[in-house]
This record gives sequence, structure tokens and C-alpha cells, in this order.
Amino acid sequence: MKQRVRVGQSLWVGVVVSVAIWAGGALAPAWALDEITFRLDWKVYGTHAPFFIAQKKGFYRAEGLKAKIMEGSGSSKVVKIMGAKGDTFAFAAGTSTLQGATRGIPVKSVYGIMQKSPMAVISLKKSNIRSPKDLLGKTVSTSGGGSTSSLFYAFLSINNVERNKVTLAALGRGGRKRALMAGKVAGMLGYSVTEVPSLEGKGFQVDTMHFGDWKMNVVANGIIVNTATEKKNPNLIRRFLRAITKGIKYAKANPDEAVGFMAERFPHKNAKVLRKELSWTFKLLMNEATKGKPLGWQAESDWARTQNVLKKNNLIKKTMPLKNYFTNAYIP
Amino acid sequence: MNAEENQEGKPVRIRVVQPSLIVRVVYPVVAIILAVVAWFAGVHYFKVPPYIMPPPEDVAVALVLKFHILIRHTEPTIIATVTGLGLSIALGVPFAMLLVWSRTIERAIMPLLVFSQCFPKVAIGPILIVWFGWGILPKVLISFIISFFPIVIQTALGLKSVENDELDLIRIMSPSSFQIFTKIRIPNALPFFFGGLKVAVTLSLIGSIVGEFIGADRGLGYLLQYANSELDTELLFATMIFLMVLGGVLFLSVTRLEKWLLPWHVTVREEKQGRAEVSERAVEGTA
Repeated sequence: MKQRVRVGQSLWVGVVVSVAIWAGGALAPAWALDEITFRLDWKVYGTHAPFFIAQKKGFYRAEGLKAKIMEGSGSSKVVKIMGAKGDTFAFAAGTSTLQGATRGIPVKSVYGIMQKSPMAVISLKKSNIRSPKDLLGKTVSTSGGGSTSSLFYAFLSINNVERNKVTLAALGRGGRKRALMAGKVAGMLGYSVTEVPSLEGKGFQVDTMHFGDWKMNVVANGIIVNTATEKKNPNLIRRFLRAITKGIKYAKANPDEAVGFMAERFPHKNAKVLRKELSWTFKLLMNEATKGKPLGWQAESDWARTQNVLKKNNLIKKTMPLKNYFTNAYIP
Repeated sequence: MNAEENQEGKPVRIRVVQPSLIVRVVYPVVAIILAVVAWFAGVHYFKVPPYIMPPPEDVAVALVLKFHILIRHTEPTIIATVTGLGLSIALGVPFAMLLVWSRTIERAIMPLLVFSQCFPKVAIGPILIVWFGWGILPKVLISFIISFFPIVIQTALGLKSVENDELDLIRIMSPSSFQIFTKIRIPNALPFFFGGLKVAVTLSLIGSIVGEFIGADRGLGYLLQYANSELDTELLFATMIFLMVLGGVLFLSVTRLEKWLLPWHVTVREEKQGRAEVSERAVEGTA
């Protein structure tokens, strides 16, 4: 009698344990988060606020993602390292993405953040630089590397300014600004979204000449992936972009909260400057070709125009079908 | 003339004068204070804009307020520096021994080694970053590449610079090549090695900073780049001061290690013993 009861008990325990193991196995994936890295184009600035607020509000987590957001060192490096699968996602300039793709780097843009490029010639108001022709015979400071410097000559030639009548002085990222502030150069090349708030914060009144306002609107920054991710795990891209879209919408509605969180995470950054940079970004977010379309949508005409400008100015050696550079397939 | 006897052969007392601790600390501190005063006066008198050169009091404020940020970014830089230096010692010393042991290898490899040092390491940095990503490895490698050469050259020089008299003496006892190497060449090479190490330690710090300039999201080099592009010149100067202190600490550690390992060497001995002053007035014993 006792033995039969014992066998019965053992069987029952065995069934319970098996069910528990199976249930644990079935439920575990739901708890585990996919770890991803998101590389920014440069050191943090206000434009990145939506990415960070998405972290704080748990938008990545809601998509089953654990996102590690890290600073980069320039779009061209970011694109190269993305090609070597150094990161899962990255934020980089469209021109660098296009140039990289023509050189065989397996990257593609999956989401457009800024449709109008922030590349600009920035000058002190008192210099009265209002059009490209005002740069004739003058010196413009630049960081030396970077997408903006190489596109400057294209900007000049599109506006019929002889390139050998304008001097470019490569002074590094800090030096170019210092030279402008000290009045040693007529203008400086840089991203308006970061440089203008910084200069105004130091008490300087400036004029901004966006390349985009002078017949040279090239694709600006967006989110890129390695093409292998597209093949292996397209759903990962969809989930990430859903979180990003929520982040952008939240940051638009709550800019002070978005900036406040960033300033906490990066105490060496000035919160007021971050706030200005974020406002500037929203001004640049939508342009004509993307009005009425969902956030992140990229216009083929923007990419076509960018390719033409780069090819005409020998910044790329060959052209490719546009679908090699971008896709809107994963936008929510 | 024998230091212990004066000209008439009479014994004299030798008073050994060591530079006092006060003198060793006060003199450099006074020099630093004078430099800071000159900085303060220059900036205020010439009305230099703060984004060109901030006054020392603003830099001091930045050092205090942002101390926790500076400390946080010191860690990755130290790790990259020490690892790169360790690698250059671990590989450089055996490599130097190989060069000394085989003339054939030396003839083959030496020209390549010299050529490899002639291009600026900054040029190879971006390539390493693309190959190895954003982490600490490329910084360690740049730090290693920069500090490898002085260690190899100095160690090889030391291993080779043995007096012929010493070699002749030991050959009387019919030693093996290995014994000659371990008992004569290596101890002889140690002072040279430390000379190379002193150069290498500052170079390895520069190497990790250069790596952080090119591609990093942490470290003092990253902070320098950030402060420079954001025109936070006070933070820029505060970071440079931190770097100078870090470099100084590393250098002093090497000199301390040298004093401990090579108490017999003439440079260490002279420092410890101080200058000997012969006082003819203090004559003991017979007149």
C-alpha cells in the first residue's frame, strides 16, 4: 500500500517539476531583453535628447530592448565602425552614409531625423556675411576633417563663387570657433544646431548661412544600420525605430524634461545650451519633401539630390541605385 | 687626493650635507606659485579673453567643481596607459635580448624597427579604431606602439654596453653564455632600461590620450576634446593640469622603483649621499 502511494507521489512530483521547467523555458524569453548599442555621431548635443528620454521613459524596454547609447567621434568614423559591425545602430550624417556605401561599407539609413542639413557658414553679425558671394577674398575656419569641410567647396561652386578666392583654415573644432570669436576669420564652418547656441551662449550675435538655403540641401543626420542586421533581424530595427519615434514625440511635447535628463546623465554639458540645441533641431526636423509623412520618412528626392551634388564635386567616385543608401521599410 | 686626508696627510672630518626636505619641497613650490602669479598678472593685465586663456582662479574653480568628472575620466586613461606600457615592457625587453643575442636578427630587424618609428603614430590611430572599435584596445595598442621603441633601444644598448675588462674577468671562470647574460649583461642593462622606461612612461600616456582624441567616449583625452569643442576652456586647462599631475606621478613611480632596484648605481648613490663637504677646520686627533 505505502509503496503504491509513494510511486503515485513521485509521479505527481515529476509532472509538477516538468511543467515548471517547461513554463520557465517558455516565459524566460519574455523577460530577457535584447542588448543593443546606439552610437551617436559626436559628443552629446541637444538633438540627442529624444534618444535619452526614450531610455528614461522605458520606450526601449517596452520593445524588449536594452539600449546602451554612447558618444561617437564624427560621422565618417561612426560609419566605418558600423561597417565593421562595431555597433547595432548609429546616428550619422547622410553624406557620410552615402559616401561610405559607395566605397562598399555595408551601411544603410533606416530613419531620417533631420531632413534639412545643419551644415552652415556661421559669421559674426558685424561681418555682414549674408550670401556666399560675401565670402570672396575672405578666410573661413573649419575643423579640418568632417563632412562640412569637404562639402564647402561644392557649396561655393554651386553658388558660382570661385573656390580659390576663398581661403579655408583648418584650426580644429575649438580653434575654428575661437578664431571667429577673436575676429580672425570672416566665418566658420560647422553644424548650426551646436555652434549657434554655443556662440550665443558666450554673448556673440551671429548670422547663419545654411547650405540648404543656398541650393545645397543634402541629407542630414539619420539612424543607420549594418546591412547584415537588415538581413538577419529586421524586426529588431522595427522595434528600435518604434521606441525612437515615441522618444521624439515625447521630447517635442516635454522638451525641458528631455533636456533635464540629459543634463543629469552628462553633468559636463550646460542644460541651457542643450535646450537651445533641441529647439533648433525641431526647427530643422521637417522639410518640404517630408511634410505630411510619418516621422523618420526619407524622401528619395533628397537622396538623389545628395548623390548628384557629391558626384558633381568628386566627393564620390561612382553612383548607385538609391535603394542602396536608404529604406523606409522599418518606419512605424 | 684622498678625501679623508688633507694635503699634509692629516685626517679631516667629512661633513655630509644632504639637501634638506624643506629645500627639496619649498623650491619647486615657490617656482609653481611664481608661475601662477605670472599667469594671473598676464591674463588680467593684457585683458586676455577667457576663451583664449582663462585666469587661474577660474581654472581652480573648475578643478574643484568638476573634480568628480575629472576623476571618473582618469580611470580609463590610466588603465590604457599602464596596460600599453606593461605590454611594451613585456614584449620590448625579450625583443631587445633577441637583438643582442643574434646579430643576424639584429641586422634584419633593426632597419624595419627604425622605419616603423618614423611615421607619426597619430596616422595609424584611426585605422586601429576602425579595426578594433571604440573600446580600450586601440588606446592600449597606440600606447604600446609609441612606448615600445625607447624600451627596446635602451635595453639593447644596455645589454651590449658591457666593459671588455668585465667580460675578460668573468671568462677566467669559464661561464656559459647564459651565465654571462644573466650575471653580467642584465644587471649592466638595468640602468639603461630605466632610462628608456622614463621616456616610455610619458610616451605611453601621450599614446592613450591620442587614442582617446581619435575615437573614445571616456577618458581624459575625450574630456580634452569635448572641452575644446565646447569652448569650456576652464575645463580644458583643468584637464591638462590633471594630465600633468598624472604624468608626474607615473614618472616619479619609475624613479622610485629605480632607486629601490638600483641602489648601487652612481646616479642613485650620489643623490642619497649628498655632497661631501670637506671641513679642514674640524680636525680630529693629531695636529
